[in-house]
Amino acid sequence: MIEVLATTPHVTVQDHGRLGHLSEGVPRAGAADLAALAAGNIVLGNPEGLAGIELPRAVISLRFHRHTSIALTGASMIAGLGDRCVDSWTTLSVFAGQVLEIEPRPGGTYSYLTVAGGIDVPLVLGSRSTQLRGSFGGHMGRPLKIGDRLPVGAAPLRFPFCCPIQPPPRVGLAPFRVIPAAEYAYLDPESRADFWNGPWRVTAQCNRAGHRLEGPVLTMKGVPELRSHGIVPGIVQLPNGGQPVVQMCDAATMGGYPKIGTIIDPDLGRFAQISPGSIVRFMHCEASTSEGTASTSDTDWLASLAETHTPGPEADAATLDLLAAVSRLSACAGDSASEFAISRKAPDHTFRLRRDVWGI
Amino acid sequence: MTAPIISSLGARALLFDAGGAFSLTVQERIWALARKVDGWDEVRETCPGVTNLTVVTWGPSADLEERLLETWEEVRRLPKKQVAPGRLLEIPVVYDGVDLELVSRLSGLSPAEVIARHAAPTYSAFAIGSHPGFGYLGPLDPVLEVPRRAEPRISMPAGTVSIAGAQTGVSASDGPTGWHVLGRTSLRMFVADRDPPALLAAGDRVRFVPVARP
Repeated sequence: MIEVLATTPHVTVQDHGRLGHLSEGVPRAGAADLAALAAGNIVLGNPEGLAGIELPRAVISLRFHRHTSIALTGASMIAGLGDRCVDSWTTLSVFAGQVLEIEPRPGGTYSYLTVAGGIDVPLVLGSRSTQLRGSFGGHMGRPLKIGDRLPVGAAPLRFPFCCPIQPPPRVGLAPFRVIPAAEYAYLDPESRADFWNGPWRVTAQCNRAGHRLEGPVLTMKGVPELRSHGIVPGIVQLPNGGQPVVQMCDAATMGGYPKIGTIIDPDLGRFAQISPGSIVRFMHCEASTSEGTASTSDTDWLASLAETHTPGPEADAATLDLLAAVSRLSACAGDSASEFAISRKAPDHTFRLRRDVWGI
Repeated sequence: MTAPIISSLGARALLFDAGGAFSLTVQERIWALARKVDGWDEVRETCPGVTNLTVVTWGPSADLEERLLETWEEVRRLPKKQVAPGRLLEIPVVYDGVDLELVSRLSGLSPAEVIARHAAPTYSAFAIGSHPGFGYLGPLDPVLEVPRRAEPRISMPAGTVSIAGAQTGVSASDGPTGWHVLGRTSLRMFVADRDPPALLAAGDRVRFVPVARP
């Protein structure tokens, strides 16, 4: 169980999203950066799609009530645990009673905390993601608040390990690939060029529902009356003011504004991570050539994580209790590289412990 | 009938638009098309809109557009009685909404007449969207057509019955609305752990039944 000691708003439990309920008006929800959450599950040996905690530039303090291992992925952060301090893209072992404190660093928007066994909130309509407008899913259908106690799923206990995770091979502000949509054809020729050339500044109106962009004013002629139609994350709409809005994972399922294109799925997690004030550009992409999208760089990267990360040997609770005690003692001594032989105290576990190697 | 138009919504979704004027006949065939397409292996889900259908696939599908057009030709030729109508849902409404006076002023009708005209038709749920379980119902009596509010109300409770343009609907959860509020119902339009969670599906029909204040 994980207890929330302090948190900023908008921290939610998310998984890979709620699919199959568009026709009932239920948005996808799920992690804004699906690949970052997936990476956190892979390196812990979790089954695909377990839920984690999404941290949108959040300051949060969490107490762990049992021994476990966690992964920190996504946007850069400062995470403090005992006398250790780490950034995103690392696995970490946590002893029962320890407090993890996280605050954001510049660069990126969404960080993820995954835990061995996953955040075990109930499945609602096939997903553990928080559906904010419908107030269901996640932890009681709402963002986390002080005093919340999050259940953690069953998972084997493991010897402490702390190892870096290879971040995705993304170029943060490389052009985002867009497939033109129905009303692209109605853009004036200059506006078509302006759309591709930009540059587009990401405004402060940027959240899980949508990103509002600012740049050259785009104009259209002769757009027929549009009737309400189902939409998906990534669609770039053009409301009356001529400034595009990109629909994100919590966007309503139905839209009526002209749509000039769709950012393809493989680029959408990277797009979610851009910070307000950033300058972005779009790159024309044809539906036929975007696959590519079936084997994207994120997909290859996740596959390589699955090959290179093994969650380590299993341990029993008594051994971890002992290691936790040793860790506390050595932290008091202030010596992070000291070597302990614990074979005499625990004859069944005759390994040698170096805090800096084992990461405790 | 006009030729349909298929456009891209990214690499894994497309929008099938029946084209032409709105009619309930076209709309019924969109629902029939959705029922057929939902069963296709490569299709993850569909979402019927107003005279259109969004189709989301698991991956790229080479002949999807062709099959959609073929299937549309099939459902277009179906005799009317084979296009199964949805269920009929009766929704009890207490007509004491904050905008009843305003709608009465804008339409030149008495509040009682506004209520009578809102409760008279059997509406169709053209599409479900905006938020989980919200149905776009229509067509509204043209006399009741009023534009959306200039400033949306920040939060109205679930069960709020409202109108805008040629449509009416029932809020399925608390949230903002730019529509004009005529009343409220105690029916819960969406309950996540009910099966099915949404009371309304596209193609269902709705009657509003005025009830006295509780």
